[in-house]
Amino acid sequence: MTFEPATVYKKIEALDRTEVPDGYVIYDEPRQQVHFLNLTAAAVFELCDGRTDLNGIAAALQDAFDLSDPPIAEVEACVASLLSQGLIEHCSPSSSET
Amino acid sequence: MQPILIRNLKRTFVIAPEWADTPFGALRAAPEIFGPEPAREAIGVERLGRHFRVRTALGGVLEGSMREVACRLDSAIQRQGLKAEAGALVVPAAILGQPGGGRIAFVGGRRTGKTWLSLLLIESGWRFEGDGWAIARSDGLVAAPRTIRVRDIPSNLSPEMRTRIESAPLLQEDVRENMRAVDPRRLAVDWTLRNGPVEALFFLELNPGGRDSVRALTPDEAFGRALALCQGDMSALSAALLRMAVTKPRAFRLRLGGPQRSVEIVTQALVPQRPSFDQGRI
Repeated sequence: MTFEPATVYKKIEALDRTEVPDGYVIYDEPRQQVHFLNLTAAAVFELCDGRTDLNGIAAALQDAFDLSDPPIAEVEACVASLLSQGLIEHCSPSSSET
Repeated sequence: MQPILIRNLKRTFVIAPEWADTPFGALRAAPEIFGPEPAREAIGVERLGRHFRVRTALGGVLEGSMREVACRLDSAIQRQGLKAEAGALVVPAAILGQPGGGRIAFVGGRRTGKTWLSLLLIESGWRFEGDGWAIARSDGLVAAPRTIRVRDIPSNLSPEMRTRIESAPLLQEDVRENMRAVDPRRLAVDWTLRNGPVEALFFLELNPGGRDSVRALTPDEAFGRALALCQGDMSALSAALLRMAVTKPRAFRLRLGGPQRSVEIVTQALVPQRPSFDQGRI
């Protein structure tokens, strides 16, 4: 999967989610699937807010985890996984502003 | 004669003592349970010629032969007990306590060896809580109060234990198989349900005639297995409770070829791993 750095993503709002000490448990009722996100994936999921692009997510993680470089490749892999699991979706920046 | 008390975690049912020596007596299940005992609700049994009618206190009426009605009442009470745990998930599991130690859960569906493992562990001095279902609550696992349902007695159980089991009331009796309802106190062991975390979980897999093996599971593997076996109202919250209940304890996959070495394998797996010489060297 190739990513446009300026693309932004947003959480699928209908998902039922609960925080646990080691991440998030998410229940997708229509698909009857349970997902577990570890702390890093949960942070990426939270940053899929319809405004922050991939570079912004990577920068936020670099800051939060005190990394030497922004983890671009890891964020791309995580976003690809969240997309394939149906937990987030593409969003055009203009649509989130309305 | 004592009335027949049937407890679940939230309700207590009672059947008149005159039915104690019938298949209804096999429904008796009165362990010590934390918290106050709920008000007793009467279940009425009527004889209708050769048949029987039971008003269940659960809103239904059952009719049929005495054993048939007793079996259906047993199922109705079990179902009600699990349904009352709204918002929680339940897994098929036995919970026992190590002699002088923590609680251990043995998780597995039908015919994976929970019952005969429970009997062998009881004979080795373990405490018994339940071998039907365990409910995942915020603070751990709780066994549903149910007597031990014995179809097959493990071949390596002592003659004394075998005799005690064979004297327990028959709940189900037909040409294919008999099922006895064994109150663990009949086996000279305490029956107290506890609340809270378990120290370890074993996911049972029966491997008839094959080799015994035990393997440590990661927390995510344990959660996946528990999800595959659970029943109840699925939601993010109930799945989160299940995750917290099954990912904190150590978890193992236990594959048993037969009952012969099962207690030894469980006991060995629970011995904390000592660091090797190399790991301890600076």
